[in-house]
Amino acid sequence: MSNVFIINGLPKEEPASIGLMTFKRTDIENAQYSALLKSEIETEKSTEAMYLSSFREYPTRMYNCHGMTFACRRTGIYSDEMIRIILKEEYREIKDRKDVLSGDVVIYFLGTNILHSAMVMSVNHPIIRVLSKSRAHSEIEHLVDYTPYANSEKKFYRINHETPIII
Amino acid sequence: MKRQLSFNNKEVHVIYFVSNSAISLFKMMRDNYFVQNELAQMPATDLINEFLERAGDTKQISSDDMAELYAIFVAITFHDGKEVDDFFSFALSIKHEWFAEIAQYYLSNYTPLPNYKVYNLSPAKPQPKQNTDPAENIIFQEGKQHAL
Repeated sequence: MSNVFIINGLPKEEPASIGLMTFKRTDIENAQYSALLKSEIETEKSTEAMYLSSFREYPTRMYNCHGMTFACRRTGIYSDEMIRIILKEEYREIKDRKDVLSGDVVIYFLGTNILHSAMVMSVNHPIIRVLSKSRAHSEIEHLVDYTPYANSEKKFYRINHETPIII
Repeated sequence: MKRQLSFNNKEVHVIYFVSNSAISLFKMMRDNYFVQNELAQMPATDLINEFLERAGDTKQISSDDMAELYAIFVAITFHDGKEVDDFFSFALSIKHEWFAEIAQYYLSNYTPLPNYKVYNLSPAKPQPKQNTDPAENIIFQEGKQHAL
């Protein structure tokens, strides 16, 4: 006989999604959450120290870090597989840190798992500053290495549309 | 309802704060020392009851509370057995944030198959020379990755 479990406290969420695809027209799964935990706004200030920086604008669950980096803040991308598709189809890795430019993106890996992504805002080697966002929290500009993801491996990528050269 | 578990673990709260997908949350929670070595050491029944009590608390709105709820949820994945399988099958219906996704991930990747068989394959014919290559003595294990 199966065990029976009942809970009432967690409200049902039905995230929306939008049509999103790579430039090669591969569909990218995404989700837009609307409700925001009041406590997430209240605790935001106390977590700024983790970035040695200040949050800007307002918290939202409409998009997450990957939605900011790869979907123009329109929606959230919550699957590692989707990020791998985007990287494979649209980006090339910049192996050497000294070649990183503003406009590149950085992916924070834990083993083979993707933890986080951010956009490179300014480069003054060796100082690299990025714009990022975690969960429902506000966007924040910070040093690429000064984050709660400090122990992760960071890889940089640049857009790569493989435009043919017409001679 | 009185909570049996007390948390004073900032790391668990930070994991929830920084996680950007169900799988990254799951992996980070599973790798966390407190979840692995303290929470997961509790009996599965106690963890399940604690989760149900907390999840049933409609006043629970803080992100730290949510972090602790996920920590308990992930600690249950270190256990196995029918009760745990039933719990995660039920959890597929929790359409709140990432509980259903984590449950699905657990059921797909961590549940052992009921009929677990081990085959020892040895060479069909005696070899004239003793083969020390370990690849020749492969043990095939039928089943998915175990929860532990």
